[in-house]
Amino acid sequence: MTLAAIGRAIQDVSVFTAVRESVYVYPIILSTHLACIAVFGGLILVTNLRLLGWMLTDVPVDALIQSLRPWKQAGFIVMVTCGALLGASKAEEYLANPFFLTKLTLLAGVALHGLYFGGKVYRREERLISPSMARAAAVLSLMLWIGVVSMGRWIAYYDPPSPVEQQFSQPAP
Amino acid sequence: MSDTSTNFLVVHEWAYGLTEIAHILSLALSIGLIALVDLRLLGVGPREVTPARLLRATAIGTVIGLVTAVTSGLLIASTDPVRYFNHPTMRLKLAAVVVGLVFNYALHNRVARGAYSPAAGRIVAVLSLAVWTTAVFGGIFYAFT
Repeated sequence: MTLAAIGRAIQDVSVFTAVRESVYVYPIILSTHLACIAVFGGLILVTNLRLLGWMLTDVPVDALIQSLRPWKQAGFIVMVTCGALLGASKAEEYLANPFFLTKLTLLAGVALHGLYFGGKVYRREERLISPSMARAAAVLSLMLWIGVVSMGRWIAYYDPPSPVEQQFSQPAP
Repeated sequence: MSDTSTNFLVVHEWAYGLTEIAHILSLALSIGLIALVDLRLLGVGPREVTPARLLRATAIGTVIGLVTAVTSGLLIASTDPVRYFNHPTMRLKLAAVVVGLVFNYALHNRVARGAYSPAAGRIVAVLSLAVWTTAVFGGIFYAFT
């Protein structure tokens, strides 16, 4: 089964077809995705700038992260749900899009980042967090998320090679 | 009168894409930080800090984000100014941004500094979230209507 066939199978699921063919649902989901990026991005930024010691240094790290966590989780869930609906509704096209695949790879990086730094930084008592570990976690997190947002935007800029070009690029028999 | 064929962003597609990325990242920066103050005003944000303290800590980031978002937005609009300006959804967005900016600095921040009652804080927070969400939705719907 090729990647394109898998993509077609996904986007042919009725709910994803409905999203793709709708006039208003698709832009509403996309707008919600973006609004969540805004709120979630602000929370990620404040968490990581606090870890870098650039803001709110008089507030304990663990207390601040803990109080932001429910909002980050809620924003993340809505953002990913919207993103998954958008991606799945155009799965065939997206799975052939290098920017989309890069975005997925970076999201896998986000997951690894969470697994590795979660217990070491984000869910640890302040006095037990190593400052260099905290800085590494913060810088990596910011880079990963900026990359995810950038690649997401650039999904729209990939022109797949047209059938005619593909025909010409094939070696002569 | 509006010949955009030599516009830098029209000539260079990569520059257009980079400008859009700057627009999204900066709107996340500014709206995200404003939303954080709003959550705190609603009584659900980080309780360790007062709204006034949170506002002071985020003010610079918010200004940088807003200036970059407006600048990149105007650059994007410069690629097709007539269509952008005449489009109803884009006009709604423009109105939301202008109202949002005035509201943010004339009222929102004053309330966040603690000059008014907690009830005023909650009202201002809801209005603030509503106006910036409208701006985001207006921007996306421009591309679809």
